[in-house]
Amino acid sequence: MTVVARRVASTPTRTATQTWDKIVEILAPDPRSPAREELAKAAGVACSSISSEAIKDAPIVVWSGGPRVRVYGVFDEDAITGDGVNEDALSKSPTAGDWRMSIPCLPEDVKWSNGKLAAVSNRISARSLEDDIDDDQSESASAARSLTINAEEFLKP
Amino acid sequence: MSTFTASITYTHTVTYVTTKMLLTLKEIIREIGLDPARFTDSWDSYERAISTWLSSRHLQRVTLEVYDPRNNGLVTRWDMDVLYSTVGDGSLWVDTAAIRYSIVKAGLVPAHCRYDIILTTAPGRPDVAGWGSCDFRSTDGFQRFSVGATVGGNGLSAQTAYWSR
Repeated sequence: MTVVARRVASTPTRTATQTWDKIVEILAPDPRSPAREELAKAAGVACSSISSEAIKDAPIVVWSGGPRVRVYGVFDEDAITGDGVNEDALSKSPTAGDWRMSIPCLPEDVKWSNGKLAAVSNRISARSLEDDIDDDQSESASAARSLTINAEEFLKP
Repeated sequence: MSTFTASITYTHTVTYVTTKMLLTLKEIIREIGLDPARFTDSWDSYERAISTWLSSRHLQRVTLEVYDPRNNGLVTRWDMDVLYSTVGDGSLWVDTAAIRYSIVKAGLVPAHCRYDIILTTAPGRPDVAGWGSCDFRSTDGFQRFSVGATVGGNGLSAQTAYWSR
């Protein structure tokens, strides 16, 4: 499992919306891509997460067929000085194929955040910042999706 | 309470205070028993208006009005009064614990209640797309309780209060 990390400057250098816009720019560099549209629908939940600084220690995680991407937020003095910030473009867009995203949030925000996200996306979900993403779980989930059998086609004579 | 110090400009302070005011509003909405999802739908618009009017020093108050849709009457109200000064100690801070403590005292609201966000500005404010004039619901029969300063920094702070019967 290859993991790539990015650390994006947030408050007080950027507002929550500006921080999310920068994260989206890194994860979906093509402004006309379907992923951009889908990520835009998650902006409210993402801004709630960013404003609570949940992404300071618990990353936004994106996985698909390629390297897993972890995006952290950098806050306070480090966001001003740029210490630890890495906003370099990725060599390959992680949202180009069959991708999934997990956004960390405060434990008390998980329920309504997932309700909101479920209404706008089947790729993006929220988790408690106290929970990590299981590498094997997401890998097997990706594998399961890639091996889904079209029963109708399979049973054709 | 969360606090830090660095070489902070007024723009940093505006960005920080805007973000933490919105965080505080979201926390209040959730903790009084309502769904913050609708609030976060308009996060960008709230953020744009608050930061614009903090930057121009026109923003005076941010209000969360909770009302009963059956009669449009006020159920509770939370105010964040903005205070501008020319001095600061070079730190930015937020105190969400004070808010949570006050919410426990203020209590939950019925789940069918709805809410509006209202910004009060001084005359001469720059226009922000999507924002226009409106009226407050009556506070007759309500009392105002001060929570104290809950977010602030270099020359800018917000004093929070809530209204209850």
